[in-house]
Amino acid sequence: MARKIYIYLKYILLFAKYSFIRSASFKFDFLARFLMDFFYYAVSLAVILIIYSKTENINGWEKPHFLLLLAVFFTIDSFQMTFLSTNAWNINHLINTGKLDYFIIKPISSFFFTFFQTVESSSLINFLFVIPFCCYVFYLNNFTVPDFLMFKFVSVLGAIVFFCLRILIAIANFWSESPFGLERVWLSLTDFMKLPKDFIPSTLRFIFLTFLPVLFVASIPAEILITFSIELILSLIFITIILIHITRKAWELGLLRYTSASS
Amino acid sequence: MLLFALLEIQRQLAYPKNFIVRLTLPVFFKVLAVHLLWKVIVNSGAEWIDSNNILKYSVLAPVFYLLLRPEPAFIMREVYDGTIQRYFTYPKNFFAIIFFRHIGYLLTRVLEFLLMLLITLYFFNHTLSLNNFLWFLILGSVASINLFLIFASLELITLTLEEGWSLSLILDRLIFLCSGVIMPLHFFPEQFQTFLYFTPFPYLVYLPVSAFLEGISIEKGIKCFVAGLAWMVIFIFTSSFLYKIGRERFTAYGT
Repeated sequence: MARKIYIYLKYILLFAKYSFIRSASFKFDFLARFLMDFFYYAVSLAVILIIYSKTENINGWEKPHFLLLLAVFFTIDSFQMTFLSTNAWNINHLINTGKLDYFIIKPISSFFFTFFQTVESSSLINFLFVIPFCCYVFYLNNFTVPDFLMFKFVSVLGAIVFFCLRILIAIANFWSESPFGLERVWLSLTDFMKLPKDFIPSTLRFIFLTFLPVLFVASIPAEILITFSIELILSLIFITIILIHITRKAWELGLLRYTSASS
Repeated sequence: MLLFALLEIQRQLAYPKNFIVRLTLPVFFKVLAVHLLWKVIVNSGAEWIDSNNILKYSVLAPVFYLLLRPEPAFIMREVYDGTIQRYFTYPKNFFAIIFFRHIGYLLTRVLEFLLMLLITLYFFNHTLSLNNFLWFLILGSVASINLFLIFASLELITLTLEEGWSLSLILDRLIFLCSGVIMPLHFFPEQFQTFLYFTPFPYLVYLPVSAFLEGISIEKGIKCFVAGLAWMVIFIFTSSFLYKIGRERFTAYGT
């Protein structure tokens, strides 16, 4: 097992190296992508800061708490933009053109190779913004060492949930005839990840906690950091395990469904 | 030219399920997310906002922008796959072609827009005056053309540079904040508001929607209209310039 992990980590380093070389060839693309992520975070932050300049409390959520939610979301989003986003976006093209064939016949896990072959170095630079922001939020929330460890723990689980949901949306392309259709729905759903769960009406909240558990990406992790609720921690772990299994199964089913362009 | 509009309508509606998933659902979710945020703020007893107006605004502003903006990548997708070359050989003006295609696209979305407008009027018990509606039509039309021109200018950059997708998303985020899609501009700090009125952003969403909801004085309406027209002229020159340069530098399969 340890050897397998070591080999896959070596692959990721290799993918990162090639991605850096590619990024160096397209300097404007590199800069534009970095600015795109930066503006995405800046706009989300600006909205919340403007609202909190007028009020101290929104439905029980004070400014440091809301910023904590954004810190969790930005951290997770930076990871997914770096390691997953481009790969998940490309899968529709791979399926429709039959280029997925080349990924399936490689002597490594087709799932791993499809979803982690490109590392976006420009998005990696987002951490230059995200890390200082997180430090500021930790300071505002008087974080102690256990709080920080818990932040790391729930962020990892939230990231896994995000990765699984994003991959499931990408896998749906095996069945869907809509190019980029579900991706746009997914992008609009990410707005709900930045809202506390109490902000969402009960019926919709139920859907977002069960069938489409987008609230487990950042909202529940942020609430765990505020309340340290054991129930929420257990539910986050449970959802993460379930989603990992569903994602693996969905990929296998997707591959069974896949007919290459030439067949 | 009308044929281009009709062809675009046909293309959009060729796969109805696809149309709903690709265009209707994302708008619905985005509007819902913005509206829920403001609804919770209103329910928290915020005294700094006009609760009824902000709830209407939180539906209308995102709907106005998301339904009236051009289809994402409406030029750049043809630049990337090289099919844009066909327009260079047509005996018609390039901008006229893409504008009429955009009109075709808008017509497929008008029904959604009217539906959302009626829902807003009905659920929020809004009494609409003819004066407000006329100003909305005037300022909204100018805003819609400006949205087309601003995105066209940006997408025409892809004729010259390799990257356009990220730039269009940056512009999208800027419009979301600075045009008042997420929140009305009067909530912004004074100095930032003053600065924004020197940019095209307030004329794209905030002012047309505010004219619809709260009305606008004749003097301010004329000022906004003239400013919108001035920005339109600037964008026409910018897009023509970018098209001219881009066409000289553009390379595609077989060229």
